[in-house]
Parts: sequence; C-alpha cells; structure tokens
Amino acid sequence: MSELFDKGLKVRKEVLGEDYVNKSLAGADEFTRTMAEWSTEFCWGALWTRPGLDRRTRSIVNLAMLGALNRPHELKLHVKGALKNGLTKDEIKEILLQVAVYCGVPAGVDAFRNAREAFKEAEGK
Amino acid sequence: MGSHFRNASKAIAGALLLGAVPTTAVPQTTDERLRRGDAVIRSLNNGAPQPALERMRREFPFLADATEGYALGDVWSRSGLDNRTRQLATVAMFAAMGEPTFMKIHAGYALNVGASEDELKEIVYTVTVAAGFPRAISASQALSELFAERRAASTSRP
Repeated sequence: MSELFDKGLKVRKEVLGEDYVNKSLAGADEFTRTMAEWSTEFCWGALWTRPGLDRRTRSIVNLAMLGALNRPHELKLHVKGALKNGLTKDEIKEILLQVAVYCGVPAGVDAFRNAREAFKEAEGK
Repeated sequence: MGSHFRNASKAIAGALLLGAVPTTAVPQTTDERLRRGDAVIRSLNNGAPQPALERMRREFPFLADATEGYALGDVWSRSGLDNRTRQLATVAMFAAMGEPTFMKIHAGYALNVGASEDELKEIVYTVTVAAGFPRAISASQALSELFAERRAASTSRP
C-alpha cells in the first residue's frame, strides 16, 4: 500500500472509529477492495489531511453535502464522525435545518431521522 | 402569507386604532419573521437588500416572503450556528447539488461575513469526494468568476 493510503487509513480510523474501519476492511472482497482502497487514499489520504479546513469544519460541510445528496448510509457514518470531531447534537441539528431550506423538506426530514439513528448508535443504544 | 398578511395586518392595525376589531386578530409572528429575515439579508449583504429578492417580490410575492420569512427569518436567524459556518455549509450544498449560480451568491456572502477565499477553495476540493469531479469543477469556475469580480470592484473604488 502507498504512503497516502496509510495516512488516509489513520485519519479514517480517527474520524469514523477504528472498529468500524476494521470491520469494513475485513468485509471487503475482491470486488469492493478496489473502491475501498481508492477512496481511502483519495478522500482520507489526499483530502482530509489538507490543512485548509479543520476537521470540525470538514464534518460540517460533509454533513451538509450528504444531506443535500440524500446519502443516508454515508450521512449516518459522518454524523458519528462529526460527534468525534467535536460537533454537538445542536450544531448538527442546525446544519440539517439548512439542508431542509436549500434541498427541500423531504431531504431535511430524512436527514433528521438518520441523524437520530446515528446518535443512538453512537451512544450504544 | 406575505403581502396579503401584511396588508391585512396594516388594515387590522388601522382598525385597532379605531377600536373596531378584537385585539387577538393580528398574526404578529409573520411580520416578526419578515423583519428578522430582512435583518439576516442585510447582515450577509453588507447592509443592503438583495436585488434578486426584491425583483422576485413583484411577481412571486409568496416565494419572496417565504424566502425572507421562513428560510432567513426562521432558520438563518437561529443562534445555534454562526453565519460564517452556515454560509460554508450552504456553499458546499449548492456546489454539491450542481447549482453554481446560487453557490456564487452565497460564496459572496461567505466572504462578506469573514470566510476566506482559501476556505472556499478547500470546500470545492471536498466536493470532488461528496458529489464528483464535474460539480467541483463547475463550482471552481463560478468561484473564479466571483473572485475576479470582487477584485475588479475593489480596484475600481476610489
């Protein structure tokens, strides 16, 4: 693996949690491994390691975009990551209200529902 | 809502002075919302009203008032997140949805409330991951236009 992959894997584990990432890697097969490696290297290694935005702000813009694009699975992952990066539930609520304004009420309602599930999972319920 | 309510409010307020209408009939919240929305617009737009919103108000009064009242007055004026952060999230959403025109307007507001060009560029880089390279590239082109326009405007000022 490349150096960028290793850097990316470290950041990915710090944001999404070591358990989740280890499970995800263990669950990868021949078919999905290519995608997992490329995204770890590019998203986490090349992008998330850039100094121009702190992790908290990266979480904020990510939640906004994932809500806007209706990506429920990734939104839940990144809600949990946002908590790790120091965002509060109330701040996440405000971001998702912005999603409702700019991307429609259904996108906002779905984002709220998924965020609530993510909070429960993060709290181990 | 909107101008109908406002006209109704004025009529009722006028009638109240004459003592002809019960005091419970006035929907104060709509006017309050619109006032707060107007204050949000001015806080983002260097103290000025938004020309596109004012044009819209003539033919699409419900849309203009809903934008001002519910989007800006209700959501934007909430205290849980500062204007700069709301603006960065909004720029990211527009870029991710492939709306460079709206993104450019909000990127201008973001710069007005203290975001830097470098932060906006960094957001465009994150769009590659969340929404794909074409949307990031469209957003970069809109930002380049905005940066150039603002530089031209600042050099033409005495």
